[in-house]
Amino acid sequence: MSQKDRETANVGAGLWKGAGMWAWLFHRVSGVALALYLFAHIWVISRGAATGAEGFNTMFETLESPLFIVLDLFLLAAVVYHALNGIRVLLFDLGVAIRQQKTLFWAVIAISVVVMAVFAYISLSFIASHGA
Amino acid sequence: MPEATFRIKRHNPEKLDDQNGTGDDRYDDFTVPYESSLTVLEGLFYIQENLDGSLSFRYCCRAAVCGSCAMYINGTYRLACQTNVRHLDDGPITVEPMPHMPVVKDLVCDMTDFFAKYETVMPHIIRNSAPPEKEIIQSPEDRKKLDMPVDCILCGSCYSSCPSVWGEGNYLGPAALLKAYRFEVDSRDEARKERLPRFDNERGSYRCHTITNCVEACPKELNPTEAIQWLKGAAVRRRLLGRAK
Amino acid sequence: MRQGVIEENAGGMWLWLLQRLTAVVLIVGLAVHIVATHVLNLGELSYDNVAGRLAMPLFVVVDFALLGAGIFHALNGLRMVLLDYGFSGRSKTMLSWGLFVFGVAAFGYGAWALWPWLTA
Repeated sequence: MSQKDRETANVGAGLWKGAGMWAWLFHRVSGVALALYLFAHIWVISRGAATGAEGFNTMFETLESPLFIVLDLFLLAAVVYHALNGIRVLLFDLGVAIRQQKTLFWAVIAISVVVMAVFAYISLSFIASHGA
Repeated sequence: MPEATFRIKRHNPEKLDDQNGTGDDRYDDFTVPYESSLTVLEGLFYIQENLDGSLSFRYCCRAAVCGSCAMYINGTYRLACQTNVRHLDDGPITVEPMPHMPVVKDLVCDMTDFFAKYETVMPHIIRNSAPPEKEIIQSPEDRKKLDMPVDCILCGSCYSSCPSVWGEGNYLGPAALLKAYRFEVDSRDEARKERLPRFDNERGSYRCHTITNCVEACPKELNPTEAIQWLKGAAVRRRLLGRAK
Repeated sequence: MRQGVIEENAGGMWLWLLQRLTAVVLIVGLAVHIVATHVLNLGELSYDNVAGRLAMPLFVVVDFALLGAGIFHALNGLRMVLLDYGFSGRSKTMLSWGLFVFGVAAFGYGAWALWPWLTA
């Protein structure tokens, strides 16, 4: 790195261009959301024990409405990002690729987008076929 | 002759008791002429000598070795002494004290907590065996492990940039943990139980969430995150696998 | 720094390690869970559909692993977030115990929720 490069490397960069802070913030927000979802999920499943087969099936008809399927997509986005960035963090914990953290962050984003596109296609065609 | 505009954040502790109680916080603009090159620190000298003698800032070595003049210049952590005005973007040069730190006056931050935490990790070689007759030999390979951490000049940039430090006043922070790493990897250090509990706790290495702001901030281009991850691994190796280091 | 801060915050390695281990369990388990529930059985969710899956021992193991690992990972994660914002001394102890009790209760409730399918 030349002297000029060294002096100008961070010009105007601020911390947010480091990607690591975005990765951490998304991880934290998605993590808190998933924690809250987990307990909602346990409650939903417990309706089987509480209300029996009929109540359970009625509830699932509501949960298969387009609104909840779109919410499911947000849920999946949180799961996929949190899992992939979690793998990124696990690598850091093994002492691997800490200096490649930005590249890994963009890889996490890219894979998340692809997975989300696939699931968006599946769920939108599901909504289309059941709405008709 | 080219001129540079310095936009400097001011804070006056004597004005804290005034009616508005803000310490008279404001930005002052100063125009500094220069010939061929000028560092930000030299610009601050010019302002102090010719334009406003009340401007306060820390400095010492002027050669990026002492770590006294770390400031927030154009939104980035920099050492004022190694930042050349020619290489900054056009327009006014914004000079602020390091964010998220208590300010003593103008550009001077209160480093009391920072150095108290630094001392917590026992930043010195610990020997348990009898002292040798001559110097303690260290192989070139072992010395190489110290290349990264010894360059830390304790300027506080990483500490100021870390979100874990912002939220939790007792967290040791990247600089102190990097220093712990520097002595833990030193082949001459014989600490077994002395230093470990000081960094391996919930206000030590486990408060690091690998955010890597410290890496972005470090003016010496060190990697405190890598050091802290090594410390977490070292705790597992020593507590679980019974390794000496 | 005060010796008290060090003593009060001693440890942390086990929770850190378990957070990593449960992360691995969750990544593998959730992949199985999501594919089996939402890809292979798209639009088929019902009481009997769940019963069909839970008749297989593999899914009993996966579901209980997900329940346990999920609750631990979620509550320890929340604790990790909250500890970044100044919990210390008494409030830290209460936070830890509160989350522990809540976690045990949630696991018990989750096991009860799965019970009708397991005993069917």
